[in-house]
Amino acid sequence: MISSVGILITWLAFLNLLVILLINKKDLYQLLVRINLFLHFLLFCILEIALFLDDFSLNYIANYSASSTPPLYKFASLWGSLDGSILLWNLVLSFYFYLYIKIYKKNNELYDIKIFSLIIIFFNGFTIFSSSPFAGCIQLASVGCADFTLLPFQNLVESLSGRGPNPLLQNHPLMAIHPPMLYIGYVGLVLPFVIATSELINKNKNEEWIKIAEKSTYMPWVFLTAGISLGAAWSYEVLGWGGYWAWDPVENVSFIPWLLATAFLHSAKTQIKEFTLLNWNYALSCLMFLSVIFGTFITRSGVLISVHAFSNGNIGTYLIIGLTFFTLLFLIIGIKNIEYFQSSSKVTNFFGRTGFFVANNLLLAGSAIVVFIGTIYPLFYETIYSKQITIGRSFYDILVGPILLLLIYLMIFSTKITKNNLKITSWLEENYFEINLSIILSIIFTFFFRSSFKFAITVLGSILLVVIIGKNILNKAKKTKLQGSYWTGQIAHLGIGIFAIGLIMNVSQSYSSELIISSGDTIQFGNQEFNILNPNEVQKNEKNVINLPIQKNNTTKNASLNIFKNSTQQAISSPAVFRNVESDTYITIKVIDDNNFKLIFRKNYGIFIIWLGLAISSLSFISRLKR
Amino acid sequence: MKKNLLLVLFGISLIVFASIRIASSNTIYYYTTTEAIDNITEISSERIKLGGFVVSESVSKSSIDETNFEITDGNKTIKIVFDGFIPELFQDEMGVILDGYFENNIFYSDDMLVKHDNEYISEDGETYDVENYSK
Repeated sequence: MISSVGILITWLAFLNLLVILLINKKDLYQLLVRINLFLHFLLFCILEIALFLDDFSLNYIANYSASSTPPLYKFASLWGSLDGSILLWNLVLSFYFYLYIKIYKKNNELYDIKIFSLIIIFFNGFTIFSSSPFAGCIQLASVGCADFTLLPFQNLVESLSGRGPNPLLQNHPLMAIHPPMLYIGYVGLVLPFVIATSELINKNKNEEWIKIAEKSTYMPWVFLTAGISLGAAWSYEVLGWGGYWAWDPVENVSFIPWLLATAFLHSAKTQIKEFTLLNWNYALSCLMFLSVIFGTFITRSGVLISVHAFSNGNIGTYLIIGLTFFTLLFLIIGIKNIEYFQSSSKVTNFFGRTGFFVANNLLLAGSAIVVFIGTIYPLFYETIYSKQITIGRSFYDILVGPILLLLIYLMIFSTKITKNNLKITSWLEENYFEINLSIILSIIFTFFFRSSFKFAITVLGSILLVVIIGKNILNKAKKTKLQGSYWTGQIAHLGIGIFAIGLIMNVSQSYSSELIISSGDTIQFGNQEFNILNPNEVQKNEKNVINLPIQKNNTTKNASLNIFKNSTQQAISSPAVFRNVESDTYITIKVIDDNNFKLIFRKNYGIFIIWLGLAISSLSFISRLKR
Repeated sequence: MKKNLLLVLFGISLIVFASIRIASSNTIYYYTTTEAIDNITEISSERIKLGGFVVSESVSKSSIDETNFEITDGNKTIKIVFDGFIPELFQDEMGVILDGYFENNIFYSDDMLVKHDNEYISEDGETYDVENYSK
């Protein structure tokens, strides 16, 4: 029943989109776009209802949910696997379509509507022709569903209980927030793509397009920043390895659009103010979205090994066709506009704002290329030598590290860049005290912690960034409200500076050790005493949890091992984390052997500071809100 | 215009070249047991990923630090000393990928990926598919 309704509404949405694509009535599409949003919202709700009703006649629910799954994770199961997550993707896409019509649509041409509807048709078509979360189950497996149909009104079979979501995905409430946030960020990058291609398709030399494209990129950037940060937090809280970023392919492909969007937010300003870098801006505004499709292809087609990779199907071919199509669209429109691009003013003053933004863009685009190559290199290697490899993280440390350091040094000057010149003398005079303070601080830190040149310049750059921008913001905040994109930038830069300090602390100071203990023991770790109490086992519907309470002073926290029932019976080791501003003590169970436990104690420095910095960057949008 | 384009292309190819050079020196290879034994002298100092199937009744635990077992690809067998978290799924004839290094023809590992079949694929020792592996 629900299966048929879902499939029919999917078709309805598809037909509605076709009408939007094919008709040329300007007064009608307003209504149709609203209908499109409504239908996709309806699909979302229907699948949520089916999840809560445990309708195991749906292939998706039989395979990725279970009756024993707690409500919050049932809700999150909608985006727990590929088919369902496309539903969320389409909903967000439809919402942006509606938003675009409402806020950004200024001209009377219909190219934007056509391109936008084409993009949604592409993703909606996937649920029609390839695999849909509403596909009905026609053949049972021992648990879950073995075969399904995409046709409505079939005789469906219903399994008794579902397989349940991937255990990793039902272990922390962040799972309910992180993917939607990320999707809102990802999918939002469709806006600059649509705006750039549709405005230039008719060689319509309306200079408004770059302003609108820049404006529309900002909110997706905020969500992308927040989404990636929450993903890092999730990894830290759930996976029990004590880290937050592994240069995993899926992390990489979220980082590439972020790098490009950050570059675009800067370079668009040069076009708005000085009419420079026209071709570059056009390329960036399209590449952001293309990199999103590419990322989806890499991670959802099963071509790469990754913790996030969903199982495949024919989505790979489907996505590569889409990627090729939209890339061709971007290239053809670009070639048609060569004359327009040639009218661009030349960058002449390399020490003014444009010069700084060019440098910033080269560095950001450079790191995007590096991350891109790191992600696809194993693919090419396997194709050529038919041997599987992975890239060690030292690859990224060697290449991306120095680029980010240079970016930090550029950001230090961002307080005083004017159109034509960096006012270096007044910058020096104003920040005389701060510069000296930073130098002294970094000498002290270098002396005490790690006497290497690399450490010293990284520390110096980060401290300079934080104190100089911090002072700039405080001075202004005393007098008036922080309004406008200059202050957005300043706050975002401050956040990155704080983040960098946390990162340095984390990378240079953290240590760990493995200890074999039994309950009743008292452990000394990092000048602190930890009492190991008696373990207990909790039987829940969906999992058994072995808790090992660990006591420090008067706080007790559990390091636990979650053993999930159903499906794959994976065990996940959840950490006990004793938090502090400067460092966390992060304890995970490695092995259990009767009453003996092997624990990993980690002293992780700077974690709180990393989150703080990322939060400040994400919240920078506040100064862009209108009063 | 043309000059700029050439400059950009040159820049991109420089980055690409540098990244590929560095990537190739930071590569972690996957080996099957046969490949590993055939190349054992070359790889004895490196950290590699070794894949194979757990030999039946070879698993024994000598201490909390050490689980011993053997893995095979159906052709050649390698002794494993494992110190790390053992996934619940781990059992005889299971496909595993181990991260570690060789010492005296014994493979020391502290990180294990177990093949988990979300798709309930039939037992198939011949096709060795790494794509469905997860921790």
